[in-house]
Amino acid sequence: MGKIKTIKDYLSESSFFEGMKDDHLELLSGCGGIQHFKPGDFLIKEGEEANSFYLILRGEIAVESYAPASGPIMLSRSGPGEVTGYSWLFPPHRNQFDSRALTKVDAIHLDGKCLRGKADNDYELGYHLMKRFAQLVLQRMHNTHRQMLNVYGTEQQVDTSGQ
Amino acid sequence: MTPAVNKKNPMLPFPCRVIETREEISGCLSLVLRSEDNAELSFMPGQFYMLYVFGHGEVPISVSGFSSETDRLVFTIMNVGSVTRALCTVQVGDTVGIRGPFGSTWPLEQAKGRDVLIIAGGLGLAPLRPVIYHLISHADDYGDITLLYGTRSTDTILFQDELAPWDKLDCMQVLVTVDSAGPDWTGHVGVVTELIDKAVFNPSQTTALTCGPEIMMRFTVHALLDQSLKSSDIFVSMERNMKCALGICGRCQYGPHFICKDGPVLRLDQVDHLFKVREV
Amino acid sequence: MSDVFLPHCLDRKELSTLFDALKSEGYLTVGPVKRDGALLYDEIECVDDLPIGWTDEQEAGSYRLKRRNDDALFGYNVGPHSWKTFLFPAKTKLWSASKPNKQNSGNFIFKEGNEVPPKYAFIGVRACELHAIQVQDKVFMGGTYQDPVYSGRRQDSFIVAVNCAQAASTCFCSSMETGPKVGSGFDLSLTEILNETDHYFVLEAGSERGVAILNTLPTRPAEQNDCDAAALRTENARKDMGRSIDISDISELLTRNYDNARWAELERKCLSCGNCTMACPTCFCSKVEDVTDLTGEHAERWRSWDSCFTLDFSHIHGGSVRSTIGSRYRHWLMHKLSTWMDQFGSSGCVGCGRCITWCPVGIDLTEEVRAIRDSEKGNTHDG
Repeated sequence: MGKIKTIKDYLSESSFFEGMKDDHLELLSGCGGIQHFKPGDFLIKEGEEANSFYLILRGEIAVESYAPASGPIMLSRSGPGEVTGYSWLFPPHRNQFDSRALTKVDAIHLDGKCLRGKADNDYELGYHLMKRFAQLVLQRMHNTHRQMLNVYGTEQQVDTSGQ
Repeated sequence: MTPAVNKKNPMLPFPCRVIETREEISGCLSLVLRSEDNAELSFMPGQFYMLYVFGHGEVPISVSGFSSETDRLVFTIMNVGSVTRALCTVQVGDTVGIRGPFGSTWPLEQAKGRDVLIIAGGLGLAPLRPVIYHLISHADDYGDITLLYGTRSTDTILFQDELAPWDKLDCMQVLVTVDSAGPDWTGHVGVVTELIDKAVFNPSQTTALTCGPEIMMRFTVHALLDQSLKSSDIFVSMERNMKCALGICGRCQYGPHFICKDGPVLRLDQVDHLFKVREV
Repeated sequence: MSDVFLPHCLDRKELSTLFDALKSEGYLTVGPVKRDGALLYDEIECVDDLPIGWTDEQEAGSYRLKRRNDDALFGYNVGPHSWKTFLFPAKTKLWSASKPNKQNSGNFIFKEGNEVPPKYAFIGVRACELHAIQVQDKVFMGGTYQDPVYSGRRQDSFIVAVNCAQAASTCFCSSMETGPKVGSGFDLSLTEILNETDHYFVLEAGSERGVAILNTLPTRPAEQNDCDAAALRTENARKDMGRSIDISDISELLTRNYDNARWAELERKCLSCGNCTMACPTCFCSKVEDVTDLTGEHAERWRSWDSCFTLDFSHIHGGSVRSTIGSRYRHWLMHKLSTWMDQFGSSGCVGCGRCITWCPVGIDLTEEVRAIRDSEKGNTHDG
């Protein structure tokens, strides 16, 4: 019979925190716990004070922005092993979008203020955290820029039938 | 000045004649109307009229011209439905029915003596143009005027020929941004909130006015609050379904507010709890 | 003080004199009739047109007529109709327009309607309904611009109110403080007294118009035992009251529960059929249709009842703001019990229970409020 997993266990198994030192993971795990969501529940609500980082263990979430008449516009989708919630990293510490559970979701929640506090006290921890977030955000930004190119919008069929 | 609303039958429009049409951006037409019997036509910046096209119906359209001109009304209309499509195909000399003016106004009094920061998105520049005209012609009563205007692309920039002259005025600064552009564009590229960092204003002395798609107004408002503006100094212009403009058909309700009489201009502290809720 | 405002008694056999008096003043008498398995409101000529000896049995999603074991004239509560059917007609022409220079011209002229509003005498208005009329008065006549259709019919309307002697299981006017005894705003009120020996009405005038009519009727001044009998009837109705609702802090309660899970749960029940809005005596939402004839030279604008439960109701470019049924129910309930107060200074609900009776799936707004209130007690937030 396996032992009950701790927060630290979950963090160490995730690809996001891969390579982080044991004592750093210990520090991080002190910032949170497991939370459970029903389909439709909000993990993060646009406009509110940003204080939450989530590592998804089970289920899927969507990052959305709601427009009246069109309904929620899905900006991205994340599943097990992926993360959501970075607005706690820097001022103004305000959630910019909604993060909503599409299915039942189990996630590790880490408190933003706690994480910032620990990073301020331990620069090595801070550096390793920032490195991982910077890489994720860079990747997301490049992908978003590619989306903005609207490559399909100007697609035309090539017709060389002689016009 | 008497409003163009028939007190005995307030659903009955007054006939006006189209005296000029002006093509704005693609799918968008400005109409200039004059009353059939040359009656005075008035409005305050932010207000709207119901416009009727024979047999098609009525739509609420914000006035987009000079509030100081009382012999005409200018409306800027985007072709998005059957009535607006009919309005976008009227000819000079045609009759258009009007009822109004209705609704609340941009806070000309509250903003006196203060800097005014105007953030417009897309077609949202049209309901803001009358307040810009007013501020410019009463520049001594106000501090610095800043217009931040964001739109999808360079060919959806509304009133483009007025933007540069406004920017040249001493009292006003204009910054324009598009979501994406070709190589000839010399303005900004990005969302309109990015321009807030580039604008010069004193947050505690600033009144902010914003109009555009609701998502855009939401993130604009968050950016303004993050710059330490108070929610009682931020004004938005809301839009909902509307049939009567009299507070009787019930359709334009936004929480407790009737957009036709309590709005369309609303102060942020009156609606920020509603902004947070979907489908309200 | 004139004694014409004190209670009087009118024998049941003389009730026809009330109809005669109203008709001679030019009123079109309207009241309850038994038709299509329900008690509806329609034009009535005489006492015999009333649903004599009938009563109703109401529950959530259920309405049945039953024979009484007496010949009471007003021994029932409210049916699917309300007086808004007459004051705020379901379909009305607002105006017409025409193109004098034929259809290809861009010019047209407007023509106002010349409707002479009917002069109604409403017979059998219950306390809840009297409140509902006053609530709609504020909507249609209390703003900057009055609605001429409503005000034209309302200004000359004569109200003969009736004090309920029983309550349906869906009634909750007591908790809404709108009944069962009729308050003010009526012209005449009747309380029906029916026992082994007597059948008569205790009448009270509530206005000068009511006094004028009362003076023409063969009444006698009411004595203490008459007034006691009337009071007993009202007490009976109060005891009978089928439901209750706690509206003590209803506005604050609902405003902080926009995100309550209950709204999404209602998705599984509510059909968005709009029956509640049609039956509700205070619902006032409408739509407007602009139509042309086949020649294209004549146009008309018509107003008709609409419901916030339709998708079209909240449609703005591209879609509806309230696309889910849960959001539409939330809008209706919050308007009725909360935002109505901000808009018009009173609740939009009068406790008549029609929305409960006429909901095909039996949704009960008193139950919904209770559920939301309960959800706040011992609420554990999971995340």
